[in-house]
Amino acid sequence: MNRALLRRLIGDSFGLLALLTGATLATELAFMAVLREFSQQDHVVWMRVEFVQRMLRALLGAELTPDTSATGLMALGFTHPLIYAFSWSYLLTAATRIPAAEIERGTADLLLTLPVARTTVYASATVHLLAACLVFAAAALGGVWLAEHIVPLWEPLEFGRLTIVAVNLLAVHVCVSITALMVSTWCVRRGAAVAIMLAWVFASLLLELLGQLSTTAATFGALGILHYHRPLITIRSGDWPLGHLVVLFLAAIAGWTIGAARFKRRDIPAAG
Amino acid sequence: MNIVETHELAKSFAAQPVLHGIDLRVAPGTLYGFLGPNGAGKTTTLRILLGLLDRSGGTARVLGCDPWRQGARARTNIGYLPGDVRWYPRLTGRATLDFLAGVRQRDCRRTIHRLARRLELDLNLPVRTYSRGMKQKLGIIQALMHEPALLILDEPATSLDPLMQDVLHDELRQAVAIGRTVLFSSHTLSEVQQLCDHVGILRAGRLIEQTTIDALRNRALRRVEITFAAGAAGMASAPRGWHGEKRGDHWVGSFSGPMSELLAWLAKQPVLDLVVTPPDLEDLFRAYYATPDAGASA
Repeated sequence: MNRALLRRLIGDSFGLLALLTGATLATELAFMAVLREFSQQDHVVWMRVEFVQRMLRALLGAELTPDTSATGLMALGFTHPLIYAFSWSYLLTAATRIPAAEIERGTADLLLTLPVARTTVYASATVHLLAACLVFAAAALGGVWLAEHIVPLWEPLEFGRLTIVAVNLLAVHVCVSITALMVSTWCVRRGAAVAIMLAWVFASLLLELLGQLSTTAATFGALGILHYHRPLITIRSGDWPLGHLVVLFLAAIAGWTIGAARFKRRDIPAAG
Repeated sequence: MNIVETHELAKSFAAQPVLHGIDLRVAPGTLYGFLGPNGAGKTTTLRILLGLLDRSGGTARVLGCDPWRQGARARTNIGYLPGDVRWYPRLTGRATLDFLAGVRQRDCRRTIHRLARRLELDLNLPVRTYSRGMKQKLGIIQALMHEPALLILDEPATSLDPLMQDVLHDELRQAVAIGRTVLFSSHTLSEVQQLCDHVGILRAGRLIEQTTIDALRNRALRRVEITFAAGAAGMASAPRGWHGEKRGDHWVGSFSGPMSELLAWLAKQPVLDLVVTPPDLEDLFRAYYATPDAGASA
């Protein structure tokens, strides 16, 4: 890892990171404030709507029942599309910088002719991404913690269980960002790398939704990343989702290794 | 040991060969001009030497290292200016150079300060506000700031005004005077003629000539204009080595061979006026570029 390079990677996107972290915190706060406004009875009525129930099942991994605890309801705070949108917009932007965006704008000629091995550049980009993943997972949990103090629900939240969910979310972020880093090593344009990643995460979301409607689609669910983030089941059981964590981290390690090998061996073309 | 040495260096893109067995040799302390028309393969060769591209065949050594496998080690002592240098637009010139020096883990502030003054570049402005020439100056500073043993410059004088070109040439001469090596690509013949002691000429992916400028100059033709006394020219037969036109009493052409032979011949003629222009490399380079076997016959 090269410290100067890491400082630059962080420094270049610090403003965006701060903005999206703030947005994540605010979303958790707002979500809890909204939950607080509804009575438990209101939730029950909501849950009787079949379509809503299916959508929630796709996001949470289990059915919301009338006896779902306040902590269980907060599972939505870790799978809300806005939470994914904030974190992934940053992570995909950051992960596709090296090498795709650097090649596209021509700065790769400067960066990769410095006395730094490509593996060091790749490792620096990885450290940056891992730190950002940690920030977003911590922001989701921190937002809930902040909300607990500002707009507490009708019962105290179980932060031990929510921490497990946040770790699962961290694993999802790591898997998405490392996959994006790998995809970036095959591209010469950032737009192409981002498009491939967006196609994958949208397909993943679609698979989860279709899986609620069709058993055929459900059989392909394991191909999507959201299949490995089931916060409501985790909160109910209180157990670590070890199988999901292993799959996510192994996928990240495999993607990282493929990306590193590709980046080390690839030609760096001049910017067009 | 040569600072840069390639043997049968080849490169193909999508099975399309662009370099065909280049044997490049750059000795320490030389100012080597790498010449060729656009698309000849100059930049591709330089990118292989920097480890940006992998070769398809042959070998390459830069400062004793394989640029692909030991590139980071070699690049510690290389300063590189890309042909079309691009920057991080939000950074100031100073922040850019600090970042690059930081990655190199070198304190280059003194050299940066000196070069910025010489090139008259304000480093406190954001790079996005720089003109093309200013960006080129920043590129020159970043290539020179760590005082590397080898400078690889891809058409460095592009976008520089004549005064700044003089400053750049002076810096390069100073670098060579203290034992550094400069390899720069150009298609500006006058620049190479003025600056270099060695030259390699690349055409269509082949190194068709590699020699000293002096050796090349000796091979070049002198332009000669002779004005004879009225009516005398018709009686004279052209000396050996003469190629040109006879327009009555006025002969215009070129002469290859020892000048003593020409002078001995002229001494026997009723000559009114004589103009001999120094050897012009431009004609020779044009000949190299024009036909595939020109290099062999030149």
